[in-house]
Amino acid sequence: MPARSAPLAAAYAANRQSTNAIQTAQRALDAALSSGQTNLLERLRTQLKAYQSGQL
Amino acid sequence: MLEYTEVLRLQPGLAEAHNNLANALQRLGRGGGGHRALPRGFEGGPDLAETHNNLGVALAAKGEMAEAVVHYGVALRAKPDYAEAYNNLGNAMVSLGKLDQAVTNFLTAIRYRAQFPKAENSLGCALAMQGRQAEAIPHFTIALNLKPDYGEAHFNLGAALLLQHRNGEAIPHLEQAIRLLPDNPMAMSVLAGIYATAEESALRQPAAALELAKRAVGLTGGADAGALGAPGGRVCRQPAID
Repeated sequence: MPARSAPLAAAYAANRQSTNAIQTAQRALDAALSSGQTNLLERLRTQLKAYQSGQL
Repeated sequence: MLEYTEVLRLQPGLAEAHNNLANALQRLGRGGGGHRALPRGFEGGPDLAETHNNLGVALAAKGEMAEAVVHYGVALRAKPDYAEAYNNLGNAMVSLGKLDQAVTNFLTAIRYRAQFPKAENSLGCALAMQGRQAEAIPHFTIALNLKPDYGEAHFNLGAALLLQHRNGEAIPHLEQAIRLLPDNPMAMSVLAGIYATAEESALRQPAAALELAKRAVGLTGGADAGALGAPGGRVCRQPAID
């Protein structure tokens, strides 16, 4: 369940706000990368990819 | 604080001064100085168990878990049925990653104090952290039966139910956790995730998801990354020292 990794991005997606969803997921991914939260990276990448491909 | 230290210098065995110093350190969030005032080999009797327990709590609050464990051990030698010290020792074991030992200590705490919601919650946490959600759930439930307004236990039960894909049952507990812990973003994030993405369409509430997620992000200073369910992510919430 990717929403557990970036719930705000998922909430934007659920409300069909794709630009906000993509930007928020990207920020969450950047934050996880810079803080070394490697356990979240795969989930966040999957979540971001889904929004970028229009899977809202 | 200086007065307590001076009294201990003059009378190292004075129980009340040890206890006062420990309590003062805990209030200040400090534990590193006072415990060194304890004379080596000084373990005291049953009356001093609380002092050593308090010192352990102060050290644990500073992250000095190995030293905290020593003091809990002294407390338990002085008072072998000291449920609170077993619970604290269990929490220290959790911090040290020794989950099996933590479980044993929490079970012992409950054996000595049958109605001990904090230990039930702690036991549930240790089990949940081992991936034993099905075993954790009854302990969170007991904690809530004993203390219905226990916000952390509501959150932990909601999270455990969610990890078992029991979304519908998780929601009321997460809602209660938000009501009881309004400044904590974790329950908001988790509930927002359910409202946004639940497989059961009847559970989805996109507008509520967005409102909750924004509130959670506002409380975390902009971060939108919940570790719940992530491999290695911590599931449980423990109350602040009480």
